[in-house]
Amino acid sequence: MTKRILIVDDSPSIRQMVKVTLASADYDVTAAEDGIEALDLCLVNEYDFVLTDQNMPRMDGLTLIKSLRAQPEYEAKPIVMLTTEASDNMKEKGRAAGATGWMVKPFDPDKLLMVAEKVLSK
Amino acid sequence: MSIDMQQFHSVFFEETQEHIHEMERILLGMDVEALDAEDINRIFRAAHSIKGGSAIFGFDGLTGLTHEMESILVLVRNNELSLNKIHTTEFLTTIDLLQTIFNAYQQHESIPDKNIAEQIVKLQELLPKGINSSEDDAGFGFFDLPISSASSTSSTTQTSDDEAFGFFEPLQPTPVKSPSPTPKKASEESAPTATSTSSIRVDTQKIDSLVNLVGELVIADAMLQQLHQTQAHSSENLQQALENVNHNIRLMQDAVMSMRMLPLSFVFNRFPRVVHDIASKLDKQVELVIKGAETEIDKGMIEKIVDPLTHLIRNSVDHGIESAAQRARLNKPVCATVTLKAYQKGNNIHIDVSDDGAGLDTAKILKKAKENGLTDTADLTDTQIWDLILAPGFSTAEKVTDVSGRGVGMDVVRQNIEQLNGRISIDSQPNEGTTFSLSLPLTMAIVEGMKICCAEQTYIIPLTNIIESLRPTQEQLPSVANHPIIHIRDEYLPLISLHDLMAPNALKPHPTQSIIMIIESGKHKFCLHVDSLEGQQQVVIKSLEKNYKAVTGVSAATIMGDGSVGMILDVEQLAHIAKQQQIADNQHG
Amino acid sequence: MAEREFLTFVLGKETYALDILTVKEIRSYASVTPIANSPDYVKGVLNLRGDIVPIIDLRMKFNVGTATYDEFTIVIMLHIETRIIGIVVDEVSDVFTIEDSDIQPPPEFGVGFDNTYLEGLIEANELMTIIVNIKKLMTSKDIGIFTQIDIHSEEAV
Repeated sequence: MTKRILIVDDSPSIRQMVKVTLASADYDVTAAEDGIEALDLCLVNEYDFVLTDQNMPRMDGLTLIKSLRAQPEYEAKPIVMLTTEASDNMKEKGRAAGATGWMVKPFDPDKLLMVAEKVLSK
Repeated sequence: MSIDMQQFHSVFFEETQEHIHEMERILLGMDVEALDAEDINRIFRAAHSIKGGSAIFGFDGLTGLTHEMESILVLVRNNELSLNKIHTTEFLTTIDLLQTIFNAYQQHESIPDKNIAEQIVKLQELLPKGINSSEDDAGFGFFDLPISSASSTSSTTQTSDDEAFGFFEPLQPTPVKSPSPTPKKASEESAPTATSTSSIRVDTQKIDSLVNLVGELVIADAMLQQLHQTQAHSSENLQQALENVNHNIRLMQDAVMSMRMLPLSFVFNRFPRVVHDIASKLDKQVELVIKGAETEIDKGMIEKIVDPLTHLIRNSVDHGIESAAQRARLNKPVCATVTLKAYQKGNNIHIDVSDDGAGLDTAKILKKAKENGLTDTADLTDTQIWDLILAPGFSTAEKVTDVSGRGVGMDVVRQNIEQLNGRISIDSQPNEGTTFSLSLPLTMAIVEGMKICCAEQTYIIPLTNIIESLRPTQEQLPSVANHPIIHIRDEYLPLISLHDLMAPNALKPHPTQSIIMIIESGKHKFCLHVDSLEGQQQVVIKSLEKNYKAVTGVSAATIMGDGSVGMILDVEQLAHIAKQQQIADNQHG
Repeated sequence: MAEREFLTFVLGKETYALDILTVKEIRSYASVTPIANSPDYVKGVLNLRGDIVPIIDLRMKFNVGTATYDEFTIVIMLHIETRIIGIVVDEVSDVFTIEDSDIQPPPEFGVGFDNTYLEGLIEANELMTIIVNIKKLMTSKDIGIFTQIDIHSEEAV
């Protein structure tokens, strides 16, 4: 069954790049502009993996992760946060919010595919 | 598996340009005494976005600078650093550099690495001592949530930091449960934004095809109307239906055209900065007043008026406005005003650039024009003298200022405006100031034209080029056959026959039995002899070169109400051809 | 063995054929808007559902037959490179499929077109049919619509 991935990032070029990269590996990819749009989508559809940026208007990544974890469907789903701040501080915040893992920007398509495979093959 | 990153470049360029503009706009409008946290956030996110994307897509020139900006802004956000004017000025300089680098990437030119390195150092110096901009960890990881909370402060990673990602634990449900108010908070956050205008990004190509389709509908509608008029008996129902169709097509045309329209603020918002920078350099105090920035023009024209407007504004500050000392002597307010005013009048958008400076020095202009061989008569009206500064080969600046060059750009300004089917005119009062008025058509895809007939062919002349049309009397006509000059309204103008140019073998009607049109293009004013006028019409511009090639004397084609093809005349070229012919005739005659 | 489909058309007394893939549509001749100062074989342009299309009279260009315009005159609208161009012919007839191996070399002379534009000869329905490389002909300097620069940039294949 095709795995469904949600990418949340306020940058159109990043969204496009992630979409094209993951689609090339036959994943079903949806994109959202910010945390609020993502939350709306998650409440309507069930995604197998959520990849979210941190710095976004309206609702940031950490808040999104916390909100998702409060939903029964997303308690156990893999959620990875994208961040350019790879300080331990941000990683800590991510873990505290309930993220499954983290990925640093910039990343290249291969890395992205590797992470997706790792989370979705378990 | 390799993904071609190039396909994402244009989206990245578009969003990055927006971010650069936004950062500049916020910085210019910011008051360091009364900082708005949201402003800081917005600048941060813009810089952050550029940094992230640039690194991913390989535009590294942008990454370093935005990284430094980000580091400073993080401290400001956390109240660990207070933002002052030195910071904002340095940021503005950085943004200029970012724009330069951006342009270089877009045009495949070389990246100014040295400038980047220098600017990075400057930004780093703004950081409080002891704080280094965070090193980007090229890592990722999965959190390995330990069972005992003692080690929760250090994340143990499953994969090494070199791999740029990580998982917090072996992918088991985390025990973290956010308090229930959080979802509510999310919806509360969404409420304030519910009233913000929603918009979607649409590829300009899609809009352009829509514009073309509507253009076709306008043509089809014109054909229907024409057919209907030729019917002997028409039912009232049919008439009403046709009127209905016509009405709705016009509405749709307006709606579609308005999609391509953008407010002039897109262009105007950079000028406060331009004025500020030049005035500082020249040690003058100048205030820029902007009116009517909400006036909209076609997107295609927005990019093309930036250069001419910039030039006019720079000229105003540099040459128009007197030094502070001079103004004081003249009892004028020390702070000079440059006004940028836009408004719509009929089918045209007008943009006026005025200053309250010294006004144009008519005597000086005339002298310089004579020196450069542009005129040999002193018998010119003030307006004619001022228009001389728009002629190629003219210059009055006594010394070359690096701010606006030698004033040789004014003819380029005029050319730029004319390429948009627009006009530029000048008005000036000594000691009171000068106004440059630009008049631009609402859109480039459509032209308001006059249909004329010549040798049974219909041609269109853009209305902006027509001054007047009349039926001449015998006295006004040239008496000398080889030098066709016509005496009209106190002027002597060359007379060009469209017949000679387009249909030399056809029988030409006598001018007193046909029409003379007084035509003005940018550089030339002349009279055009045609057979008859057939009425005004708005025409959709169609390319001749798409399937054929450029035709001398014709700027484009259009489709007439009866479905046939009409030619839109290029009056500038006509004047040029006629001139060549005259020169050739003179050589033989 | 390569097979191609061709459309046959008549100019004067000769029958010619061109690659059907270049044909956009076929219409009766309708009035065109003449272009000032253009060669006589460029009749002008007409409106093809919004596109401005030049119409070339090959009969005039190559002096084959008489250039008449009546209810039987046909215009073949062609896709040439990225453009649409129409050619005036006396009539069009069948479409047929031929094998490359059946094409004989073109005659040295006696044919309206310059040899370089011809692909060969074939017998179709007992008629000697001359196969024209219509793309080469229409993009030629001879016809003069395409500039050499256009060809280099439009020639992607």
